[in-house]
Amino acid sequence: MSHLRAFISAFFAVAAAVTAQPARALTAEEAYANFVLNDTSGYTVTDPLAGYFDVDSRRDALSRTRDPMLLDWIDHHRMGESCQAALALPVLDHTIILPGFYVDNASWRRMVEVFLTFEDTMSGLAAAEVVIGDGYHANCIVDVLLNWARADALLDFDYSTEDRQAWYTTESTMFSASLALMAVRPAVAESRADDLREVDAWLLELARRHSGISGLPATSCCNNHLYRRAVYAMSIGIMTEDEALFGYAVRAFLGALWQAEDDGHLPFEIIRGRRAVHYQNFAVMYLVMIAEMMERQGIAAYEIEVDGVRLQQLIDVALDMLLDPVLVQRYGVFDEQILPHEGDGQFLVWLEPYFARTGDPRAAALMDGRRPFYNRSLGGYLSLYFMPLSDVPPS
Amino acid sequence: MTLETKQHQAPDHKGIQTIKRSSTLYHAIQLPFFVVLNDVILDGHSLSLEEFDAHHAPSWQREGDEFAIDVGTRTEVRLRISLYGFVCEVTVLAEVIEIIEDREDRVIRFAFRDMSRQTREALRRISRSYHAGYVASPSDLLENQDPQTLNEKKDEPAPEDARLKWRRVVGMGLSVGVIVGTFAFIGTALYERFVLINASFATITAPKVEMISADMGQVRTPIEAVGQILQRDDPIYEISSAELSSEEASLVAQIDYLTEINEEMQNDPEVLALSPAGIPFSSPAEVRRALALAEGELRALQLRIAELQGFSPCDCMVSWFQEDGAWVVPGDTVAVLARTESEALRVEALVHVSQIEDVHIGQSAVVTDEATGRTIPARVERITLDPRQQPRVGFPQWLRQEPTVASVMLSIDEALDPGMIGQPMQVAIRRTELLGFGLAAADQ
Repeated sequence: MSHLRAFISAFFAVAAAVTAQPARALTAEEAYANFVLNDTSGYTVTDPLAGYFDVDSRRDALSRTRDPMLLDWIDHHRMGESCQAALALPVLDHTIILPGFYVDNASWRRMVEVFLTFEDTMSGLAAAEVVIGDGYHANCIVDVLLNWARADALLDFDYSTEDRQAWYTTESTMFSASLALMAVRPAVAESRADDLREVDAWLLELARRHSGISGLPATSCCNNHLYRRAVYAMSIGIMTEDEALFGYAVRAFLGALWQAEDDGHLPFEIIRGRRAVHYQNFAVMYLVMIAEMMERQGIAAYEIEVDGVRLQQLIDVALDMLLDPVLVQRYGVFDEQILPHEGDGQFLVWLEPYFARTGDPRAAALMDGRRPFYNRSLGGYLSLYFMPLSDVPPS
Repeated sequence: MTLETKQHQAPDHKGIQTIKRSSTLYHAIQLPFFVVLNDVILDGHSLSLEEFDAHHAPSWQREGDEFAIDVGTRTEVRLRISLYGFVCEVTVLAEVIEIIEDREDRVIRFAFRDMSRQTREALRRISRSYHAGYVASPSDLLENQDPQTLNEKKDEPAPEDARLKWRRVVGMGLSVGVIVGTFAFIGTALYERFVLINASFATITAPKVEMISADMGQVRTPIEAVGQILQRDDPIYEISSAELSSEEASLVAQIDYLTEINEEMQNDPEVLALSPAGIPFSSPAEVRRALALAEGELRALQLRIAELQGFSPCDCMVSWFQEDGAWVVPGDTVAVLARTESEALRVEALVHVSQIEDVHIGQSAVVTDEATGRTIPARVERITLDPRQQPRVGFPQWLRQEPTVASVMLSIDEALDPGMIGQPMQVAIRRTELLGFGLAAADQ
């Protein structure tokens, strides 16, 4: 096996040397220009309560399932969450500056823990509401976000071209809140309309301020960070029917297809050396979530094609490299790969909605024995929401 | 006592009575009896239905007479036969057939020449009883049938035969019962070995949540007892940590100081300002950053403090809790809550891992309540080798940590009683693949 790998490595090394040299590398400015200029006409919000999956249908299916794994998770989420505990969490209403990861790692961990706990809380409340459906946890999400809105939380994050850590960190905090609210919003849309207006206003201001930063000249303008920003932009844009934010997310999605090479690999992710495989997967993870939200708005996102590239090609590259990381060498990357997904299922969470839609056996192979998948910020308990329910008896 | 033999009446047999002639009746018997002649009484020696003999020397003789008798003499004699408690006297015509001289005590042999049927029947019964091993009683002479002998055969069963028959029927029934029982035992053992999988342990369990201490401190709890019912959001505990409180006060003071410095430097960027560590700030941006980081540290600390408070996430029952005043360290369990609505309860069985490969989702099972003996049909709902995937209360902790058993959750169509949580049950799971029922396949 090692001889085979060595041969493949040598083959791709020669192939890369012969074929890759003439190609000019994509610049951040070019990618950003494309992103800004993408035409999003025809893409519009059609259902502000659609969420990223059909909550009522899923709740009904979960109530009848006999799938052992799902029954375990249902037991877990039916325990519920205390809203008193959620409301007791500190609100991030101060100027957000995070110490450097390598400068003061202990301090960084302590401070980031506040963000992570908030994200876990949002995801836990949303899952409990999906399973129980009594409105308690939906109201609790509104209560918590109302506290944060009234405190202007997260709005004052620090950003400079030298220090982007706060900008990066708040991305996931924002979409953890917006995706949780999106999942439970129909339950409280009428009863908490006034409070939701306050929450929406805060989310809009936050999203506009955050997405208003281009990130240039760094590639974070247009790599996976753009797709992360697009996740909150799309979810908040849908809920608030803000076409500008929705358009921002669509442009990011189209920009990813434009950036991708013909086979579907993303240049800004593949340049990450030892993390090339990880970042191709990482970028696809957010693009799939964006596609799922677009599909819920009646847009056939998986069918959108830019210069002959569809999302499926990006997914194909990610799946193939996850299953066989040595394939990254075809892109001239010969570093030994760091593969966080092998020890942390949060990076495979996107496989659930993708597999539910396509039944791709590669996804099944990657998920085998590793469920449930949970990503505290990207929708939370996606296995609970998307895992196929072939065992559900007819109602 | 003298008993006259009763008039013998023919027995009222419905069929033909056949009595096999018994040679034993013609063997002499040795009962004490007297032979009474006209003027003399002789001691009897032996007696049969054909003849009798007596000692020649009289046991009583009228005075003055000398007893003499010759062979061929025919005379009427009375035989007084001593039976236990009474004397049977019969009158017969007898003939001396021999006087045996070659002994010290001469013996006179008489042969019966005539006797009534009743007399013969009485003698026959006496002789028969003697040969049967006992002395005839008056009832033996009065009964209208003989006592049983081995050689006797009758066409119709006597009352004793009916009892014997019933005893035989009962005996046979018992034998059959023992055989059937043995086969049933063997069959049950084989059935249980090859068709059933018996759980090592089983009980009713409920989903649980463990409240874990995030920091070291002393527990304050309003919970009074295990089994207490909590409403959602009820406070469960508060862990007081003097260290965190002290840190919080220190950080608040630091923030106050930095806020003041920040305002000063906003007004006068050249003012000399020292960081809490005593190092001069070089710019307002540096102060602003220090203040933001201190605020971030305070939020991180407030998070730790917030996590020292526990609230009930559900309408739950307290399954276990730390007593008020107890000290805990990070990672300690402070309380265990269980959701005890009947829809959340399941019968959970622990099956040895060597047998778990034969257990499948959907297999049928039988649950037996050990307290009442009632059996309830059930179905395998979940199987896991790692009980942490199914945090539930019901089994003792040591059993949960047993690595050789797997958890099998069973669903039952009827509501389970929360009071039964932890009560022992028996569970037998059918190996459907052996019987070819295909229940599992049908259900999946």
